Amino acid sequence: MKLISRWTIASALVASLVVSTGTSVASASDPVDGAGSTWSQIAVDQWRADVARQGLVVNYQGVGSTAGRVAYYQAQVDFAVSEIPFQSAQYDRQGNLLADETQLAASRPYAYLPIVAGGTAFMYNLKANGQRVTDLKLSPTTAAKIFTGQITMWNDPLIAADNPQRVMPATRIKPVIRSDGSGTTAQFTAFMADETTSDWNVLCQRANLGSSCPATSLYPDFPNSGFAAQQFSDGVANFVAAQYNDGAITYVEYGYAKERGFPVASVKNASGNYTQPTAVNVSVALQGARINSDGTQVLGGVYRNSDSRAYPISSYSYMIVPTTEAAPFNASKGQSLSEYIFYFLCAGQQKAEQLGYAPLPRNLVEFGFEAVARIPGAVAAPTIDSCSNPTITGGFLVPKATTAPATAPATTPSANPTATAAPSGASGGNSGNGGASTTGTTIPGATTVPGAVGEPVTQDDETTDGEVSDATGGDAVIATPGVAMATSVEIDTEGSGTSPFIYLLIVVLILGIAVGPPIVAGRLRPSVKQ
Amino acid sequence: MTSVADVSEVNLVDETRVSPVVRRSKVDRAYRAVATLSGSIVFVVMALIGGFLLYRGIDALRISGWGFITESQWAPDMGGAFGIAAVLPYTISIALVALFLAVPISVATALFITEYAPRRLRRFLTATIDLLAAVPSLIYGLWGLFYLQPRLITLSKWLADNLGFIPFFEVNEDFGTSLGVFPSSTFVAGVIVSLMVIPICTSVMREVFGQAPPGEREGAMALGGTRWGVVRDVVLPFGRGGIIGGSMLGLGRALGETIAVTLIISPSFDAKWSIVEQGSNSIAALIALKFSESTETGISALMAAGLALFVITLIVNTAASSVVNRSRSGSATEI
Repeated sequence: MKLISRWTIASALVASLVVSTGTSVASASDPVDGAGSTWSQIAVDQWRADVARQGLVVNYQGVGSTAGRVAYYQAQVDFAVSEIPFQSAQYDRQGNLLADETQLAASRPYAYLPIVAGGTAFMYNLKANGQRVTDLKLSPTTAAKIFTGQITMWNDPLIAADNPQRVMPATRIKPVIRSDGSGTTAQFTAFMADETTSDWNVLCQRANLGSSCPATSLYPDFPNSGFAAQQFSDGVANFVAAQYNDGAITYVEYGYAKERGFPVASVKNASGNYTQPTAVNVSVALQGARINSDGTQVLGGVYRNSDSRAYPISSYSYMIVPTTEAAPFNASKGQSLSEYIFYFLCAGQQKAEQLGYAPLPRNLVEFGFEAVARIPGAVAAPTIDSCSNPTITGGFLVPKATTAPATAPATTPSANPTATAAPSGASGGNSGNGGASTTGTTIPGATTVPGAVGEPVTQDDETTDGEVSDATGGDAVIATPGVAMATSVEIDTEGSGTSPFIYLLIVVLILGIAVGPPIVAGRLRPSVKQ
Repeated sequence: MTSVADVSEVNLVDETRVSPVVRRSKVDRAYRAVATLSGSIVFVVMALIGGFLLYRGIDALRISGWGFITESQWAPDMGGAFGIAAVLPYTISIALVALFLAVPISVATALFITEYAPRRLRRFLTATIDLLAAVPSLIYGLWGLFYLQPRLITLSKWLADNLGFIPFFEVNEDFGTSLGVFPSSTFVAGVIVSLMVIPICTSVMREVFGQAPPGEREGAMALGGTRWGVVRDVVLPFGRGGIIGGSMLGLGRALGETIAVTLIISPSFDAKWSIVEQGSNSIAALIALKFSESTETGISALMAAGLALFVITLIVNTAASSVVNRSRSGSATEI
């Protein structure tokens, strides 16, 4: 008994020690908890790991945007990450109130701030005369008509009009949508609901959702649509890349197409250029973002950005942060959270491109700073020019106006290789793209930010109309932002590049596991008996 | 707890009358109580799951009313209609395709192991089949997605081209019969699920076939019966309960299979006869796919769908167990 009591005393001592050290650490920086978007999770997790080295504890669970917003207004988490803002009241067809998130969230005042930006790419698998098509161009309307089931053949006149450079094959289009709830779906449907409203409404009607419907994380399907649906970005990308799926097209993050060596469609922007969804083009487009008085994004200026480089289907996800000390939040947590936010808005954005996103441009960083100022206990924001975001330090974006700061020379050395890599046929041919074609290109896997330099673009972009159709030749592997061009890629006809050797290895391994134990047991058993 | 103790007291009195030597020690009684408690936990858990599904699903059922059974669309999150009229038939058809393939293979495998295989091979085969049951369903799903599906759809195409007059193998003419029409179908999903069902069915059937009474077996042999004759007239009639029991256990697994089906199928919300054409669905997969981004109504609707699956599984298993209980080997099967 004495021993036991000694043990209890010892363990109690240890426990109290642990507790006391625990509290002293906690007072230095309180851990903050968040939940939400899986689309943004890769970046959020990377940044969490980065700040953890400085003793800042940020917990995050990728449970989905909707679940994240619910967790926020139910006061289960300190912050949420979501592709779409809190939704206003929704009613079913009988007029029953389904949910009114804005009202539910009103009990816990909040601010929105931009966190991760990205473009939605159209990855496709199409052969014409036995050759893979790699120079597909789509206008937003055509893309919307494809994904609402209004265009079903690749040789449709609308697609042909976008692609005068080639004869489109008479293949059936197989649009591939996400079967699970997804941020990519939310961003693409937000674009369609905003920019190609009449086409989007056709889908709403066909799916029996009324005459119009808002953007959604769950893509609406309708009977006999001819759509295929797959789970996860990986799932849709693999499905499109499958050899038997000639004619398939999906909306997915650019990185997934790059990984598989598949082309993505160039999408027509407001200036009439067909652009690729590179990080640069997305960041350029997002410079047109405006914020509503309630903090929600107005992406019209992004979708219709008149910059010749802008990729139109660009958007960003929100972080929803509390602006009061309502439980479970407090000023101490506010300090931790604001430090985390300043990290990812500035230095963290240097990793955005590597992680498959695009860095937030200066205007969105400033919106973020304003939102942080409303968090209780927030530390003071750094000056915007000391923010080491690549779009602010230069080297990533060339400002469009004449206000190019003296950052350009710093990036000159890296500009030469990219300039030579770009085919003259694609870049030189378009006088209107002079500035754009010398802008940095994105190289898959490149760790350094591609250089960008050249004279600030001063001429207007109207001259580019019609000229882009020339930019079809050339066999550059690197996509030049702002210019629609062919990317000829060597593609393994066997499909998604999975080697039969791996399968063989797995089969041998499984057989080994199956055969091994009985044989070993058989050997052992007689010796045990005798 | 007191009631359990009372029961044991009563038994104690009863049995001491028969054999006064037997005395239940405290340990014995405690063990009895624990065993009774564990046994009743099964019912508690079942009731809790059913109750939880009903509690969470009732809101959605109120909104949809009877439409939940007749409506095939699934759009509770956007204020649209929702129901299981398409999802449920798809769920059942995937399970039936799986059983259609798995049951004959399992019966044959179990018979081979118990009747024909040499002793050494028998041990090896039993271990291999049990190992198949231990492979996670995600592995089956990935293997099915990347390896089996591209190969299997050539068979789907052959079925559609040559047996297209049967509604099961018919494909929509609008889409033609290029290979791209066939992936992600009920057929592909059913084949993958059948691989997961085979080990379960086989081990139940093997157990039961092995218990066929040796007296009858030897009698049949003595009367000049062939080995097949013994199988046909002794083992199979005796093992009827095991065949049904094993199949039902497999059906339960097939109805509830989630990850592999989620990976394979392309969810469709219009029921059709064709099993080879792209587009299928399953309640379990639907829940897995929609859960993360669903609104509260959406989650409630998913719970209601889960309740429907729960009820159907209960009905199927109860029906099967009554069949099994009436057969000779009924006592030997667990269902």
